[in-house]
Amino acid sequence: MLKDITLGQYYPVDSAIHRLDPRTKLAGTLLYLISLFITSTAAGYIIATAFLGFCIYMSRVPVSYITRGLKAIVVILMLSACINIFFIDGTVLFRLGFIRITYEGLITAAFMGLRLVYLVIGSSLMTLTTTPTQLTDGLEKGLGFLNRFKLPVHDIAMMMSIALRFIPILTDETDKIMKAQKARGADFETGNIFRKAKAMVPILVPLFIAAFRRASDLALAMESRCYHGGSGRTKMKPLKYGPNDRAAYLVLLIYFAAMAASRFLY
Amino acid sequence: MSIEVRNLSHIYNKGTAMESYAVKDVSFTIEDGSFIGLIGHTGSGKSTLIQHLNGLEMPTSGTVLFRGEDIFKPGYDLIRLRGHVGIVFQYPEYQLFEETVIKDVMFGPGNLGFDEEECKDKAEAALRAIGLEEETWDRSPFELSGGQKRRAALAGILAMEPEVLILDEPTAGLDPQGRNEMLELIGRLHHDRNMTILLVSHSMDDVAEYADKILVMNNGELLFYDTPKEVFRHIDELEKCGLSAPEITYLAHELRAEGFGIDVTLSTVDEAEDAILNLFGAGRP
Amino acid sequence: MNIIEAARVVYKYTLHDEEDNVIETQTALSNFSLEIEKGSFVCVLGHNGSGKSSFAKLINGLNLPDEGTILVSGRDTRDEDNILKVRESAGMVFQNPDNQIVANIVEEDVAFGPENMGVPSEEIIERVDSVIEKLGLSAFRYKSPNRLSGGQKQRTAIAGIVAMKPQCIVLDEPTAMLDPSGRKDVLDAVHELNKKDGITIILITHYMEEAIDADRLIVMEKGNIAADASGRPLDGTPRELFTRVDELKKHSLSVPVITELAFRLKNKGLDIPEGILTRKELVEALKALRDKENA
Repeated sequence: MLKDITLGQYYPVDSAIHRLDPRTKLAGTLLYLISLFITSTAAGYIIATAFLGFCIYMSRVPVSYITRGLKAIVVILMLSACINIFFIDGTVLFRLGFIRITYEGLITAAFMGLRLVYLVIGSSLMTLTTTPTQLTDGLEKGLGFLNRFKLPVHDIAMMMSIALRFIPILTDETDKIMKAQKARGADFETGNIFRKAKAMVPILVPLFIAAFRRASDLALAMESRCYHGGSGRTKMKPLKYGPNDRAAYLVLLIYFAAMAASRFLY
Repeated sequence: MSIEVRNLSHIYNKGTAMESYAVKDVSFTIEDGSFIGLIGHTGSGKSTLIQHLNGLEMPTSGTVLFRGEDIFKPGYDLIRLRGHVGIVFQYPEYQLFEETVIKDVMFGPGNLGFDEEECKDKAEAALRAIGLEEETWDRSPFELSGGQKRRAALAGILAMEPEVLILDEPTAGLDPQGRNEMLELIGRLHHDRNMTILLVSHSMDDVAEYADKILVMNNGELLFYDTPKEVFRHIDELEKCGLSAPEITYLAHELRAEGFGIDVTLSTVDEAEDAILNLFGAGRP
Repeated sequence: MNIIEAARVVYKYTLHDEEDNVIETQTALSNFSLEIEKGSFVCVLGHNGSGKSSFAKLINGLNLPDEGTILVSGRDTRDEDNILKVRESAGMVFQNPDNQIVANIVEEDVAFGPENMGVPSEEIIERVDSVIEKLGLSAFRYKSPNRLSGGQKQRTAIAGIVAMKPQCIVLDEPTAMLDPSGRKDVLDAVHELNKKDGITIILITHYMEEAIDADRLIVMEKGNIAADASGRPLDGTPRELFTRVDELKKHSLSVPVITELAFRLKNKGLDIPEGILTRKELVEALKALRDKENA
């Protein structure tokens, strides 16, 4: 059951998008998300669709794989659609008792739905084409300017990277702890919510203790390997922008200009 | 017969590209009161196999009978079964959670529906059986030493008074003293209480001394299920699946190759001592 | 030349209760002196609480002595300016492989130490290339450590230390959590580093079998080197120490089965040499005895 949780799922193929610098992809994703919110015209949505389609095509990740991430937001989609359809005033198309559906409602629901879907696809395209390590590296270097404001960017990136490494280990550990307690007759399935919550104690206590133990071991091991924070640290593979990244930024700029124009021109 | 495993298979990731057998068509019977050693290297399926014996894992096909009853048929009381067939996992850290040792040991019997008083009696009996000193009973289980933790975890299972005790690598990571103490303790439980023991290990030497029968797993399949002497005859096959026979058995083979008239199924130091002394006409009186 | 020099080291640690009051102070090392020669393979045995792990952490500067000094390649570990140099020259491998691998990809973990030391990128890549090759990790180079077996994980941890180009590696029970094939994997790797690259190895272990091939064997007890009844320290070559089977047993160490068997046979009057370590030696000894009896 716990094995179903996927985090930062990376789709390992070699593509132009995969090879981009993670900072380019982070900036691109951010710009794309902003662009979805500044547009509200059909023309804007057509451009956004075309751009997303182009990125998916370039990434060589199968569409079925990308849309899988949408399952998680089906409920939110339905909810937002209902609210928009039933509660927006305008030209009434259909009426049944107190329920009425308006033209404006339908349009807004469609646009809002599309916006949500593109948001999810856009951001999952980034995690699908970027390994967690690249992502943390990109964040560390891309946000490096925040160091000037005394924000510990390196430390945060290191924490993220360590969390990614230990999530599968702790998941596995949780599984083992559950089995060990079940072997002592513990029952996690029956009873009301309070009983179930109480039944979690025998899992959580060993899990926390194990996690703390690992954390202190790891801290010691890192210290013994000369770790002393980000200062004076070098990188085996420092991030460097290449010609592809420059081209990608140009494409992004053109896209963003088109989106901005779509808002004002049409 | 206490436990009967029938054509048991367990497939991981069924229906995907990563489909693989953890356990493949395994059948065997564990007789009441026997001491069985289960050997196999990491990934041989031994851990998955034992978790079927008390219903922690569900088989893909095949089944397990306990006292002639199918434990996977709908409505079978698995929690009660876990009181009869106890599994002690490798790391005690995975089960200790209460404020005090005694409360922790009372957790099992409590789950089986015994009242506070009964739980306490059972817990105290279990703690005495494993020889944890009384002054530690009210201490936090996290303050115990590694060896003590392991014994406390064992007490947590014993307090449920199981007839069958399954131990997953109970000596891994212990120092030689702790290892010997643990093995002696298990031997005593078997001998004094006539408990059925299934000891999972990757050390042939550990198992050779205590087990009446050895079950060898390789790639999810049952390779051998026989007396230690018979199993150790097959040194070559054991080596092929990444296992080794006890050192003494190798020695016996080498002596035999040099023309000594020695039994090649020796497996313990005591046996070898007698056999070699006999060769040189200096046998014990 | 000595790589490690410990002189009259005292190390204590304190246990605190919930309000941070000291409950008790335990002495892990008491007046402990030891010198370890450069390039040697030293095995430290002792049961839990004998002080062997505290000693390991003192070498690496993770613990600092309360009294006395520890010199690593002539550098005092208590001098704060030295500490990174000390850790570079004496790397440390711990028991649990999972809790010492930092990165999500094998090659990145190997690079972690050199990155911390500020080694230039091109040189890090060179080091990683050669270390990965040396420790037989090429097939896993771009894999997640979570997909490796215990022995492979521990080899990754060793690779991460070797990439720092240490003169000495301290391994604190590196095989305790591994199965027999993983144990063999790790030991083979460590022996090769000692023989081919001349790296000093300090192997701390429970398993007597792992000590057979060492140059020197030290038994620790109660924070110091153990001594026999006559006050002679249990410190010497494995062959010397394994002739004193009774002494080792008194310190609750288990002797390898073959040595134990040879010891018993000798006590029962068979005329075989002392300190037999391997099956081959025992077979040879018994053959010689047979020839003598037949003659």
